Amino acid sequence: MLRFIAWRLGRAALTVLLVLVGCFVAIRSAGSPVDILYPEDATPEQTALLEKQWGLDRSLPEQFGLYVANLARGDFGVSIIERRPVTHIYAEKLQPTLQLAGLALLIGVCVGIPLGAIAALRRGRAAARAAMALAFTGYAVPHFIIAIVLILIFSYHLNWLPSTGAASAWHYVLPAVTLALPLIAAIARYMRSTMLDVMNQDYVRTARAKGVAEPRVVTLHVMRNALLPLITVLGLEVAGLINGSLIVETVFSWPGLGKVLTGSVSRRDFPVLQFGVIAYAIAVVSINCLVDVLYAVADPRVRVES
Amino acid sequence: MTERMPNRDAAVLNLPNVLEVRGLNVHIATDDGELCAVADAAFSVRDGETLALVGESGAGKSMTALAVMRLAQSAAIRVSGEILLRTGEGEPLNLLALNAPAIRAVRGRLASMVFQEPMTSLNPVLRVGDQIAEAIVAHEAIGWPAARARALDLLRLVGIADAPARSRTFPHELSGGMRQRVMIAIALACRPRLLIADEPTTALDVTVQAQVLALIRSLQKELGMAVLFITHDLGVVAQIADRVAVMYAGRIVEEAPVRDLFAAPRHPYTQGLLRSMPNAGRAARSHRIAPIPGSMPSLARLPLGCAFHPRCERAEPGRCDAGVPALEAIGDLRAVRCWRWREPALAAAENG
Amino acid sequence: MLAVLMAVVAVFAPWLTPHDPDATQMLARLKPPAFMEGGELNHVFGTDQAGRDLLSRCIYGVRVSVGIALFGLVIGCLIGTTLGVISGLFGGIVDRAIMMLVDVFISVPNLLIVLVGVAAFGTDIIVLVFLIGLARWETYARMVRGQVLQVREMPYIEASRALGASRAWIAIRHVLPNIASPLIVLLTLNFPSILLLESSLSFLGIGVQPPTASLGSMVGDGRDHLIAAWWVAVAPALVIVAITFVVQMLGDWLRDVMDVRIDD
Repeated sequence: MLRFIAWRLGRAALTVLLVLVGCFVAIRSAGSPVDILYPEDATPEQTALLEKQWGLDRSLPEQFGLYVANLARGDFGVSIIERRPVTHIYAEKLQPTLQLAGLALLIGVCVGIPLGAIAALRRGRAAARAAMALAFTGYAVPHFIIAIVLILIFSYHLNWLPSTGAASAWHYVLPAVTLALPLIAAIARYMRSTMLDVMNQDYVRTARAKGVAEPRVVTLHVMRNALLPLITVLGLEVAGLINGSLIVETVFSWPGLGKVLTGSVSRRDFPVLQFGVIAYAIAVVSINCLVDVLYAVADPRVRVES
Repeated sequence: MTERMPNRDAAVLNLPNVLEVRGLNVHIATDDGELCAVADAAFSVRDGETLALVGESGAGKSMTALAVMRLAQSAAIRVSGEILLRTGEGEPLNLLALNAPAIRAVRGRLASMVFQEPMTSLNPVLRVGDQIAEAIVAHEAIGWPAARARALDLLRLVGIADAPARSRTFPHELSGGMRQRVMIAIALACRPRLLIADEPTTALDVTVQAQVLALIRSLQKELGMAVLFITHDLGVVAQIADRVAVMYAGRIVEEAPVRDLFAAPRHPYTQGLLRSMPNAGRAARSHRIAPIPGSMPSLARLPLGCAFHPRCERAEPGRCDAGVPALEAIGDLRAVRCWRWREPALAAAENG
Repeated sequence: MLAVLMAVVAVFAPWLTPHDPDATQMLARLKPPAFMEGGELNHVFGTDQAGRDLLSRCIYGVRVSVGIALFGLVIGCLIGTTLGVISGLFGGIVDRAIMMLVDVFISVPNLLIVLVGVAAFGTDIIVLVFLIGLARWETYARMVRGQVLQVREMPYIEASRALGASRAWIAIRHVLPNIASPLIVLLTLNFPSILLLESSLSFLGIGVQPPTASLGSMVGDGRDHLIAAWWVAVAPALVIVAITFVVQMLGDWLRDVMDVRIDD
């Protein structure tokens, strides 16, 4: 088990390293890092110091080493537009983003799993068909269109819910629902297919042959086995959730990281962008890592093999 | 095999039927229309008796067993007939007429089933001890700790050493034979009157197979239950059965006490089966293994008349391909479904 | 059928459009669609903030969006297939390195990759096509690698190897025919997600730049007029949804018909 965790951590670290390489290459190909990472009006002394610090006169691998060392020291540069360390900017905006994404994940799980389970158990009936049609829709419609439709209906037409900002609890409803809908669709689809798979397993028949009551058969024998692979899928959906949150936060003018990050692209504010990408990548990688370890703990078959 | 031979027939005859199946039909709806997986099956099993249901795969044996347990239920499957289970004094239960809670109370308590695939028949994420205890908790008003303690006894009963440690393992940590023992322990948890064993040894090694058979036999003696044993292996039949019902293409074609069946099979199909079997039955001598030509027809396109006639060397055109023969009783203990069983050619065939 | 219709629309856009998509008519700004009060049959979908005919703009938008998505699709497919073949044929450390790369791409949100790329290389259409193509290359790589590994075990491959056929030749001769149908299914199923990626980017204003308009950027423009003229955003949005729906259904259907198993 410990070996498995160590191996998984190693893989995660390697992934992060590759992301750093990607960032490094992208920034180098865009121009001198001193110009890119620090405001243009830096004094010549400052520039010279930075050039030395970045080791621009040395070989590329050495430069990469320095680059990583700088990042490790926590020096992610200063926002070109806002003139302050990017870490400060992100620290302020982290909480709303986490809240929104967490809420969406919660809705996705709490609605998607029962929806998929019902679709599997009541297969062939009208309710199940409707649920899956809905899930199919959630799959094919992008976040920004869901957002616009929801805003049109609930903010402008019905005037029930606010569409911009995060001033009150009501402000969370539309962005969280927008973010959650595709997630619900993905989870429900997956849940349905694994449930159908598990329902045909011999051990479910064994449980029935024992005379176990049907609710217990469904929850303990079917759902429990169907939820195991879902853990892994959830980990993979986190990447999609982050994709979505970048867009949803922009549409709803959410005071979070999404707007900061997308804004930094059009303004070519590299320090901000770079930190955002690295931070998001680390978040996704560690969540996936955690998910794999969780899965290994939850599934006795994996537990023993490793 | 000889030790199995003493004439128990008379004694067994006096015991009441635990299971009595009458006119059982199982229809399965497919894309190409409805087919009949089990047609007009009728048989009974008495207390302490083992009835073997024999046939090739696809003959309808497993479907019959699942139908008895009411486990053959989906939108596509239609079961009709009467399945009577005698539960003690009083009137027998007609299993097909029971509602869901009532059939649930029967399964695992009055009638249990052991399946063919020990590898996949246990829930992979639950400890085996809990899977046994679950069967007890489902039917008796006792708590989990007491049920777990009984599970340990059951593990010992099925011959698993070091029961406390084994009960905490997961199925994948056990060998196939071990898992089948666990399945038997689950089936016996509430001391059922009827045990249905669906090819319980097919997936096991030969040595393990013998152990499991011996276990089922000794437990049957100990608990006095009726056993419906499903297999395609006549060698296994010889070891375990008191009576045999042979199935072909959804119908029972011959029924007889095991000794009579091996000594004097009446149906050409049974005769063919025995001839195609190496080193068993009456002829451990130097007879040739002679497989039956052809293969069992698909249920979707059964031939007219007797389903076996295209493969039967004694088929008579105009008769065997015209109508389905009835299951005719021969004395008290035997029955055969063949148009020509009385004719001397058939009787002679078994001797030479 | 609908898919064919869309292809026709994209190709013959100049002949189909009732108006010049860039012709502004300041007097006819924000006209509602024909079925609403104040709408005219002249502008079936209505007009936008500069009085441009929305139907014509949508037709041209389809052309841009579908075009970019198709090119991106081909690029991703080429990259993925090549790496998949290499990975499967060579095995060992090459295989592990490529699979590692696949893992990275799966775990890093693809929007982030595109954002970094756009920031570094600009929003040129060619850059955009390449970045979008990168988005789903790993699906092809995994599928192709699996197929190669499977084919490699076949006796006839062993035989042709024994006869001295080179690895590359084996790949071309034996693997490619085998991957044709799963590849078609995968391409169809990936198309919607590529199209959505492009439109999301354009919606955010970091994809296709004005004056060129893709469906996504049209929705983005329409966002500013949601209260007064919702149709400016909704018309192109509906077109996007219609396309992804149809192609997704086509993909599911192809998957069933060709009996291909693809894990998604």
